[in-house]
Amino acid sequence: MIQLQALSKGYTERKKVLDHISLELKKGEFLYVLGGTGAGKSTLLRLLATEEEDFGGQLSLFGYDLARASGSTLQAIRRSIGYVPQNVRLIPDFTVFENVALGVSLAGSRVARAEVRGKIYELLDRLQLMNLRDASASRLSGGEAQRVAIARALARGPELLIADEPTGAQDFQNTWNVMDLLHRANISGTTLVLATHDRDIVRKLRKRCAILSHGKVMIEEALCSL
Amino acid sequence: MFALRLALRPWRLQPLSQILSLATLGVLLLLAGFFASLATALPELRRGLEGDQVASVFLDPSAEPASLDSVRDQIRLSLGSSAVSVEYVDADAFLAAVQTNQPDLAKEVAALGNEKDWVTPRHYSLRGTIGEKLVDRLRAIPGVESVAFSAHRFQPILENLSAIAWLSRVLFSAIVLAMVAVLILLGRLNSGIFSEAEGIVSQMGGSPWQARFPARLNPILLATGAGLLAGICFMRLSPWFAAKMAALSPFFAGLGTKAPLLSPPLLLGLGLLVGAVAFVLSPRTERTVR
Ligand SMILES: Nc1ncnc2c1ncn2[C@@H]1O[C@H](COP(=O)(O)OP(=O)(O)OP(=O)(O)O)[C@@H](O)[C@H]1O
Ligand SMILES: [Mg+2]
Repeated sequence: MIQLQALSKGYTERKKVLDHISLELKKGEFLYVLGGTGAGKSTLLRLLATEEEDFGGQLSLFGYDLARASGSTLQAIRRSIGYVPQNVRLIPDFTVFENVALGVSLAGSRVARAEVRGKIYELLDRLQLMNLRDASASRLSGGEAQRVAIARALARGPELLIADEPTGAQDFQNTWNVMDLLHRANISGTTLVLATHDRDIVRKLRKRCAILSHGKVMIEEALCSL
Repeated sequence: MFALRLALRPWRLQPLSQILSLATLGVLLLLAGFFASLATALPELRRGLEGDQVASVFLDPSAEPASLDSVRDQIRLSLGSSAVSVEYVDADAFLAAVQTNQPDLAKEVAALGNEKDWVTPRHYSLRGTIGEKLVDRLRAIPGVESVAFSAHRFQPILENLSAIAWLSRVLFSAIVLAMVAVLILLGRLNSGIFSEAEGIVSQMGGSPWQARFPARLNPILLATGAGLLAGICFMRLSPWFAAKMAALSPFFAGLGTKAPLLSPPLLLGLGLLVGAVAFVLSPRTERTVR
């Protein structure tokens, strides 16, 4: 599903944020991306979400080499991905519901409207956003906006879910609501890449992990032992 | 559905610049409508004036009254199918014609007795589209003494009209350019709003077309809206415009009747067209979507 070979990425000439990283992820796997602040977690996740154009080495998603993928292939890849960016990126003057619905409609699913609506409502309900569904995204708190971005990614029913610190702005209750939803999605077949600082999560829900430091994967474990 | 919602975002986020642009485009379109009307109607009025010439065909004073009919038939023959009215004028007809408008002159002529035939010689008065060639043919008719022709009667006015029509075309083009410029500048103003959404849409798997479409739909909607407004205003204002132009000069009197003004739906079409030009010329937002 995901294959990185000697993947490098730098924003400036001198310093490489990611330095020859190699990783492989099979369909249905769950990977934590860990590391201190500035370690390059978000950079790696942006690469996986096809948000970065130039990089060194090889990156393939769903069996397609990203550097050589045509526009339509890239589009198809993006439709199969749910991405929760660290900076959430909602359309501020759209409502919560509209933001989520936009994500679903762009995934190109052929499900009936009423069914989509029902699915979105269920997700909003689980993420304690139901009473905010018609609120403008611009007036949400940081945690609320982050949960909307999670709902938007999950509602697409993605094959690959990339979540960049999705619980970074959540309280205890919501952290576990979010983790429960992500875990369920993973159990039902979604491949999951999750960047986090929260050791609590990693300890309670033990999965494979890769710890980044100075642009390299320092430790890689099949079952994280933090 | 989402494309429309995205395209209309600037109305929420920067309503003032949208409203101002709409008003500017509306006024410009209205002006463009008036100038286009002048540019199309004036040549029509010009043709009308060109077709309004007079020639007087003076008859040989010594000719028998009986030969008048044959001369008239010859004139008719020379005219062929051209739309020219032919009227016989002698002293009595002249007196009758003058009687109503200038009674003093009529009295003076009547007082001349038999000499009045000498003051107003018998002639045929021709009115319509008359060219030099026709005049030459008329001169050749036996029994015709001379032909007086007003070839250049309206020449200065014809030149004025074509100058105004020309000026109208220039102003019309300038206005169309200004409208495109307004839309492109507005596009630049809105590009921040659109590039943000463009990035989100393309990351979530939207096609380049889906990502860029809202930014381009916006000026089309705006220009079409302005076209609708301008069309309605034009419908209301065109009688007033025709009246003002007629007051400016009697030669504009036929504006709106003899020579029709622009049809208001054309302004809607012009708005749409200007929007489409802006659509084609609109710069890409900073983000290039692969
Ligand atoms: N667009 C950019 N231009 C220049 N440098 C950048 C850019 N984005 C990230 N960096 C640098 O790359 C490094 C890694 O950033 P990244 O956001 O991937 O870290 P992170 O591991 O996600 O950190 P955090 O845990 O704080 O989110 C940082 O030193 C950052 O300053
Ligand atoms: Mg980060």
